[in-house]
Amino acid sequence: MATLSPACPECRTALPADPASLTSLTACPGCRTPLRITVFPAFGRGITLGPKAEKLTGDDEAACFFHATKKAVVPCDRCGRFLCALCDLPLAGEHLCPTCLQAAQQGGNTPAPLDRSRVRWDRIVWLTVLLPILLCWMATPVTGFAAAGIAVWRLAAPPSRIVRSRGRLIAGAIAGVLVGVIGLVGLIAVFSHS
Amino acid sequence: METRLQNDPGYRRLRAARWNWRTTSYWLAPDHLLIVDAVGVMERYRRFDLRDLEMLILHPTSSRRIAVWILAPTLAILAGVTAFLGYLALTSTTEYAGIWALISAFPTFLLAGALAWVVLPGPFCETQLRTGVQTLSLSGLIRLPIAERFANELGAAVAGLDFAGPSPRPESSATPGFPTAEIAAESSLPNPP
Repeated sequence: MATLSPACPECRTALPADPASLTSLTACPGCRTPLRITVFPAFGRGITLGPKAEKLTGDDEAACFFHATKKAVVPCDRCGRFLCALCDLPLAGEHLCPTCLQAAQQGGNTPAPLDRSRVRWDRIVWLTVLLPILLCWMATPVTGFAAAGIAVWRLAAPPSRIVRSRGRLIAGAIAGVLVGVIGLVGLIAVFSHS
Repeated sequence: METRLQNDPGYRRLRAARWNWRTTSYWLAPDHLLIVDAVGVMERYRRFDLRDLEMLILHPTSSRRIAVWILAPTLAILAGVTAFLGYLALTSTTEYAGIWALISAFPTFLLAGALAWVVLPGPFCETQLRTGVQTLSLSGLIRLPIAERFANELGAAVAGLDFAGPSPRPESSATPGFPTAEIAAESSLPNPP
């Protein structure tokens, strides 16, 4: 597949074949809109196609589990099935077959480089701790301990990819217990006084 | 499908931008760019292998000029009114002039703040990231100086990569010593249909 030719995002006029000349703000030849383009080495290289699966040429060769007529080149690192070059999905140092990859994704055990989303349990815990303090402090004996419970329950859940959410989760659990205890003491004090 | 991304790399934050109830942040790993869209308690990830990035296009827009054209005259009028009311409050015995001066000072300061927010961080821009198969608008990068800094940092990260490096599938059919039919026969796995 050929590389997409660069075009002005405003007027779609084709830009010079060598966009490296637009490294500083330069007017588009079509609409005079200033543009700055940072070109990376991948530009113009096109898309690298993967290898084609080779056909079996003799009886002494192993066949792909999914394509009986194709030569196996590697076993799946999870199920051990032999895979041809087409079925081999190299992922973060592992070689997976399509079935294992699909099973991992459906089972919530997606290989780390492919996970698309994660729940920030630390935020949920901290919201559960802090919101009742602002809205209705009498609920804090329940919500504080509930937050601590959620934190303990989700401690082993995959943390955020970018922040240390596990530390925040532990801090949230401690804060939840503290808030729960303080709320309980306050509640007892209020009721005993009245 | 070829994924060369590292399993658990250390990320360095390039930029974060809050847009309404959504935060978009850009994180740089040694081999890929991670775009994180945080909505409430969910984080959604998009990864771009640095070797696949083709270009980053910065396109300054006229939003700042338009905003300044609207905000500056309005601010001038409001500031004039506030100054006049303040002058009246100080020099005459006009009833309620001081209160009206305070009332008009509030939107004046709000408008001045808005104008400062528009002018000080630099011109607005649109930023597009292009790979061989897609063009992505980077919603968090709307100021030219910030986008230029982002482009420079991304460019430096890409320049540090080895593009001649390993072929996409080093363990392809050329791999010597791969199990043959004899080993397959010894394996407990069922034979392919």
